[in-house]
Amino acid sequence: MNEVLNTLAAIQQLEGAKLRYALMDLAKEVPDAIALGRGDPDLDTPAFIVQAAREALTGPLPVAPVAGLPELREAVAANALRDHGLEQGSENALITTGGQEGLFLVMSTLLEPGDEILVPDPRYTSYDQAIQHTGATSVSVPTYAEDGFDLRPEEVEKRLTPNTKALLLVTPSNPTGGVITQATAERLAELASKHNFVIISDEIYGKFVWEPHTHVSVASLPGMRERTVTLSGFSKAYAMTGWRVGYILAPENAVRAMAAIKTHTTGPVATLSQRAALAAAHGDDACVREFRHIYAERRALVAQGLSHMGLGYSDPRGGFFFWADASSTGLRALELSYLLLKEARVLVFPGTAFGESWSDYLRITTLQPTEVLQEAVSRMTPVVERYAREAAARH
Amino acid sequence: MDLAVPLAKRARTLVTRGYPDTPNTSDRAPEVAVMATLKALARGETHYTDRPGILPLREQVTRLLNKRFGVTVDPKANTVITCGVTEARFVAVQELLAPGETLYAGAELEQLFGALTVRGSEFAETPEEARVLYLSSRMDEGDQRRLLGHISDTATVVFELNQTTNTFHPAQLEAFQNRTVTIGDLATESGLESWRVGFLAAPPASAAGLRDFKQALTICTTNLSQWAALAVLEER
Ligand SMILES: Cc1ncc(COP(=O)(O)O)c(C=O)c1O
Repeated sequence: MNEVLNTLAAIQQLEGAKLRYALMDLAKEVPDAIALGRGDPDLDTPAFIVQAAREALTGPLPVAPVAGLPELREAVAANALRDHGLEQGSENALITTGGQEGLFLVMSTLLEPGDEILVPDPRYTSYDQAIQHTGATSVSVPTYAEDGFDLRPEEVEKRLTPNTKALLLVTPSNPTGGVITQATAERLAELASKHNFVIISDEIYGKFVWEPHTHVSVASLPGMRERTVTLSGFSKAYAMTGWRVGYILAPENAVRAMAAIKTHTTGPVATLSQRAALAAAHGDDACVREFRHIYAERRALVAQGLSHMGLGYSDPRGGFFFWADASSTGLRALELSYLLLKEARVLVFPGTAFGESWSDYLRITTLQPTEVLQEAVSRMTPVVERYAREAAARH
Repeated sequence: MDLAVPLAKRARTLVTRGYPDTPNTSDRAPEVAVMATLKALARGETHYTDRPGILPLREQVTRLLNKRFGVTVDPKANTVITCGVTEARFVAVQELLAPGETLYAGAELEQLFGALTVRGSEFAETPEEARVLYLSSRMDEGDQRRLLGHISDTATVVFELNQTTNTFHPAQLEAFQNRTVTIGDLATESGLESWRVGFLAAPPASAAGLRDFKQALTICTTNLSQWAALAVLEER
């Protein structure tokens, strides 16, 4: 138990992304651990995209312009119209080294020291670093399980100040699986116009919203195109995390500024990756529909497993994650995820990696084949049940 | 109506300097790189890699530094593969300087200006006042030694490896062994310019911070690019 306590004491000092990576490093030392941690789809990049890369390899691969290959910028803009009725030209599109670089560029472009940005809690904590780096302050906006983690416009309104520069939305949300509903989006749009702030909408999981819910792209609401920066990418939609291609859609002045900063962050995105992404963007998304079937089956399996273990959760409305309430175990999330790794050989992330107050929650991905998920559930069940029994006995 | 969002000052400063928009032409990638990429694709190397990059490539980097300069770096803990030397330079500037601190550059001034602007830092007027001294293998050895003699005991050195055959490295001097970060490009010389691969090799004290900043910026470097660069380096 001493070793457990020492390791726990060390990782307890960490937060956000650092905590997630420390757990991933620990998992590497556990033989045959099942990773339900990182948001990296296990599925292969679809064959037609890989084929496009193979073909591109037979010809020259010149360095691309910093803002992206013109034909990829055009395709991304065209798809915004096809998928969301959002009219954008290629001058509104910027190709980034994954959505991750996109979020850094957005914050660097918009935020000054002293500015405030509203960030729903829990959150994808990589945003913390990007925001802190600008000298701006994040203001946390609570979200609630009983709303399926949709945002409450009144919670946003309460926190507006003259320094509010922007509101961040991640829809579907990592980690909660909540989505912004049409009604909420409309209310937030009104607030943004009235109080003159920008909405930054991270829609990287936007192709994976589960019925009966639908994806709302805030920029497509009337009057919102000029005050919304939309961030997305190919990583999650097309199982292309390793290719490192994301994109931003924004008013042209912001795209120019972000491209200027991008010159210094990483320069242009790898040309081969952009050519592969171009094939994805020109496709008809049949592969995405196939992925959705696969994810639906996995979701059902994990949901059943969690219910069986006695963990609470609200059905994810989108994305790849379950945000499960593990308070029945009487353990804090970090300790529980550590014990699940040691005793069940399953890696899940503690809620505290996504916000300090979420110590009752676990984030569990569905990004493994069904038989592996089945195995993960069978390994986790007795461990969770035992701790829950012990907790009940103490009360 | 003109569509525009308000920009932060750093963005306004940099946008007036524009950005390179004319792609240069380059040939087909070298055959070994193409073959390695095809093999990597067949193995399904399309996911995120470890955030510091694939280990065999990190090992190639440390071997290269050791062979050319006699400098030793731990590939596991202290080496990170980046999206070109651009990202390595950017990460070094963001992580090694606090806003307001200054950098004295012996070379690469134009490239450094953008990274400094984003950090809220500036060029130092003298090496004595600088938090970071920036050197390049392109510089004359005598000039490098002279600047090293002027910096404070707590300043960090960033040494950028360019396409030269010089064999001087600041970490060869005992006083700078544990405070020199080496950065470089693994792509251009290999005919892989558009593949965007570079590296950061750091002393233990700054390695974790640099790795974490890189992860926050881009998670990891393009998977296939790393395998392509590895194949070219291994062939050499
Ligand atoms: C909400 C969110 N935004 C952005 C990203 C960045 O992903 P990528 O850089 O692979 O596009 C992630 C990755 O996990 C994410 O969860």
